Amino acid sequence: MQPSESPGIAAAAAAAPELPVHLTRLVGRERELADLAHLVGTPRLLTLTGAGGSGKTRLARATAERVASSFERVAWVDLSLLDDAQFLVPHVAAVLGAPERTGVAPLDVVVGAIGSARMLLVLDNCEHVVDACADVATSLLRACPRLAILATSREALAVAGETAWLVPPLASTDATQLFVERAQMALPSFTHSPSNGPAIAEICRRLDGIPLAIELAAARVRVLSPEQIARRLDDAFRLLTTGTRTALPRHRTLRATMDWSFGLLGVREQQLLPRLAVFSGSFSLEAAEVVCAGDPLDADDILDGVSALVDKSLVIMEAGDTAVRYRLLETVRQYGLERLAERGELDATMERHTRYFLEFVERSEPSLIGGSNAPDVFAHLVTEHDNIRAACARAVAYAPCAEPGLRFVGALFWFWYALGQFREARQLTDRALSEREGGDAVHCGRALVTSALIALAQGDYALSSAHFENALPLLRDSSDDLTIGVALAKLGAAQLLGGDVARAVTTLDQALELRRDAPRNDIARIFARFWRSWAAVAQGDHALARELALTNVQLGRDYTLPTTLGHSLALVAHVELARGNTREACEAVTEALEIEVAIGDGWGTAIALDAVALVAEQRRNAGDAVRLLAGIEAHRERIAVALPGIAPAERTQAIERLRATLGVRFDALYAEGRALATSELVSIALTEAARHTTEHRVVTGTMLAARRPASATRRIRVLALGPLQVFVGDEPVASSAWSSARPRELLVYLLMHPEGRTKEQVGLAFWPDASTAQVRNNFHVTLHRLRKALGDAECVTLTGDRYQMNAEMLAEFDAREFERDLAAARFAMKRQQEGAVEMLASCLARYRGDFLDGEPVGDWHLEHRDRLQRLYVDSLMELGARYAAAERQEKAAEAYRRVLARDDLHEDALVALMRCHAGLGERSQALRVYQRFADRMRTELDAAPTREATRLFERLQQST
Amino acid sequence: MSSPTSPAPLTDVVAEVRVGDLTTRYRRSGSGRPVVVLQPSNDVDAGWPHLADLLSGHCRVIVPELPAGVGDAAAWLRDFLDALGIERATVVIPEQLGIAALDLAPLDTSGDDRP
Repeated sequence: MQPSESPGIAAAAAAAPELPVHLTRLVGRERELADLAHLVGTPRLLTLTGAGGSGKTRLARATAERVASSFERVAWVDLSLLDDAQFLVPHVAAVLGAPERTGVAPLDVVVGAIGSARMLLVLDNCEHVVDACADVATSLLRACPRLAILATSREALAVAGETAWLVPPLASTDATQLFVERAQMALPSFTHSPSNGPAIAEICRRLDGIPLAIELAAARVRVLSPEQIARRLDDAFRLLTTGTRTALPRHRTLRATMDWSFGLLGVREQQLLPRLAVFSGSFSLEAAEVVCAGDPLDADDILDGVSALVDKSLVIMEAGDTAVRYRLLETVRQYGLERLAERGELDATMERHTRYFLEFVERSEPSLIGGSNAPDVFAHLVTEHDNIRAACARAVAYAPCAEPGLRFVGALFWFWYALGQFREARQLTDRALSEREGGDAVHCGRALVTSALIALAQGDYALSSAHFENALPLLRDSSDDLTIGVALAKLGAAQLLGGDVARAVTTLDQALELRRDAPRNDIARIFARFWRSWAAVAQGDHALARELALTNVQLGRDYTLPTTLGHSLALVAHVELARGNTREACEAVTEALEIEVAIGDGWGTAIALDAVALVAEQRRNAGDAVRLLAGIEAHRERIAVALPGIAPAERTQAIERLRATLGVRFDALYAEGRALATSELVSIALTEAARHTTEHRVVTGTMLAARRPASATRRIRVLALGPLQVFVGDEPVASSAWSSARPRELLVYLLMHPEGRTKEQVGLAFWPDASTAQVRNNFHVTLHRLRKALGDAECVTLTGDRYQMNAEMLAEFDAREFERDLAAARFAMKRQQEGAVEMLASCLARYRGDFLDGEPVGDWHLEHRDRLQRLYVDSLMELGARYAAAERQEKAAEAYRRVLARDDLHEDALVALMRCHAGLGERSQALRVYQRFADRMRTELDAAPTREATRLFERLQQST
Repeated sequence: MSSPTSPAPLTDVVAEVRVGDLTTRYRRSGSGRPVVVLQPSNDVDAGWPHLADLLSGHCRVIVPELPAGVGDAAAWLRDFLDALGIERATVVIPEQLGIAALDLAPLDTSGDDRP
């Protein structure tokens, strides 16, 4: 699978197991929370039950948050959109970031991911897959001894050991508070008063303290007074109650409230709300305008309608990174779907939804074949994943017509590949193909290509070749040479990996011929050239292999195609290795690995690691060779792509030689290697590769400990006040040695925290949006680069889980010394010690500029920057005052000017500077300083200087 | 869990329900439309095994243990069923319990049973 995003890693990033965000705060529930926090984990399965709208999800979230610190991990699995119980376990696996593994049952993948960790798994909205949840919960609790499950469901799972915990109605004071808070969101001037108090209490009682019902009622205060709401609810409910009872069962109370709330909507909103229920998860306004328009709604009406529904708490607005998205609460969505069905609009609206997302997927597909070259397209697809999944499943199951299903699976392969979701891909594709009667030939052809690509990724070369060969004649009639070219290139790959080198060469040459006139960066050409180069390696034609691989490297550089560049560099490494050029191989693989890690490409990482493993074996570094070979095997299983590295036979031979060399030690090293994380493998590989390149000689820890002379320490100097400068010995570290700004940033970050920082803390400061896996990777790459730039692996030490800069190697770090010396000088000043003023002045001279001025660093540095700047400015003010008191006006003026240079709106410095000038008889200078200051004030803050400054100015003016 | 005296122990599971501070243990067996069997002897292991067994071929049989100190049995039963998420159920009550006059109106106002 040449250029593409990595499977697995992208999946984990797309589904970070974060707790859901609620836009409004949880009202009340203190007692319940205390009770639940105490209970969670005691019955290992605790299920919050209650009618829709009773606040189960809200309470589960708050509980999870409260108990999170007593678990190693908390994972939140939202099941509300899961239509098909058979996807329950794969869905849990995806949320846990445990990618599919060929030949391993999904449940075992999940069990493997949880293992013996003390983990809290939250299964939210189990009711529509309650039996499947019951089975899964039972199996997981049996297999994972320290797992606790918190579920929310309208219905108890009713399995052994479960405690079903009924979410109680809101206590009356909490209910009132909720009503008032929500009412204020609709009408900010709304207050709780003695006059409306009884009506509010009556509403809350009427609504059985059901939070959602109360919210829906409160959202109406813009139009209706609480008294009116209470009366209307009373009327609405009287019809529903029977006999002597005045209360409804809770599930009917909510239903009645929804009916009531719905009945109050305008005609257009009544049309719109049910249609919005066809979206799965959240939706964009653009999608709603297409899917929900139609008699009597124009596309232009949708925005107004959605806004009106947001006002009434029936639609929730979510502010995203780029655009606003909307969502229906699950309870409201279910209600909407019922209404839509009653009105007979369900099928038509669903069809518009399907078609909209089909067209969206088809539009996006061409940019995805290039993989990570279009991260924004991929991100957009991930945002719409729930909708795409629902639409595709519906299209595939749509009996009357095969076309939409075939088109969907034909366009989705690269998205599935990036997500590592081959199981789902296989099921949907087979289903679509099984109903292909009457389908258009081209659509069938594309669906078959998807099927062939899935088989290729999963290592079934015979099936893959067969499906490509069936697909190609169907595609011949289309003018889509790009798809044909890609299919030919990948058929060549399947033939090559299946062992038929001769046929592969023919097919690949055919692909290159077909796309001969396509643009240079044509992805089909790039694919075909990559595999043709690989085939040339197999044929022993190293010159051709090298030429083709280098062409792709050049294309990758020219067109900024990171995936192409990374894969081709790894290929170059293998070719060079086959030619006996270890140094060139190691140089290529170092660059390849850095790229693969940066873009999170699992397969590319694997083929690059393969090359290093062979180097290590050849160079008699048997331990690392075994660790790498074993680690790569485990890594491949994790990314679920069976596609082998470049030379499976070489790998087998290398393993046999190593087993013979190492004897009994082999097994232990192999097991050790299999347990390594990918980032650790990358670290080992980069160290090994660096050993054979002339540029950077990395010294291993043991050698270093043996020979490091004491005098060689204390040679790192870091100047961070002002533009960052780093010296090793007397030499500045060249900017090219850093690769990027991140390693420098890590250096300063660690220096600012001499007590050390954990990987997670660094991750939060550096990559706040990255998944745990990404943080691990990024951290290790950055650390590796830092060590390389400073030329000594010992410069960063690890104690427990904290990384620290090695204090013994540090000669100078100006920011720390500045703070320390300044404190001493100010203390001396306070005690009127001799020479204190000079001490302070020399200290302040170290401040060349703001902390990390001009460095592209994260927000973590802001507090340090501001603190250091404040220290500097305050000290200068103090220094100026001392000079002024000692009648050294020139010196004082200098200090104040420096303050104003740092902070040009510092009023006290202005007044003091004007006084200095006046004292020196420089009246016009003083007036100019004021004038300039007043101008800045006006333009920047639209304000005038303080009275004090102005009065001084006027006095100076009059004294002419 | 099953007492040695009960000839045909209820299959399936024992679980519990919490409503406020009140915990109710229950046994569950079979599947289908829910039937709640209140028992003369307040012990889920010793109760009406025969009847429950008969029913569990066709129904989801739920046998709760009436917790000590319950004053309003109707409210208790309503909460118990709410907590299980059961909207409609057939309830079998032994005469000995003396709560035949349970006010169960809310349980059957919604019309027909679920399939």
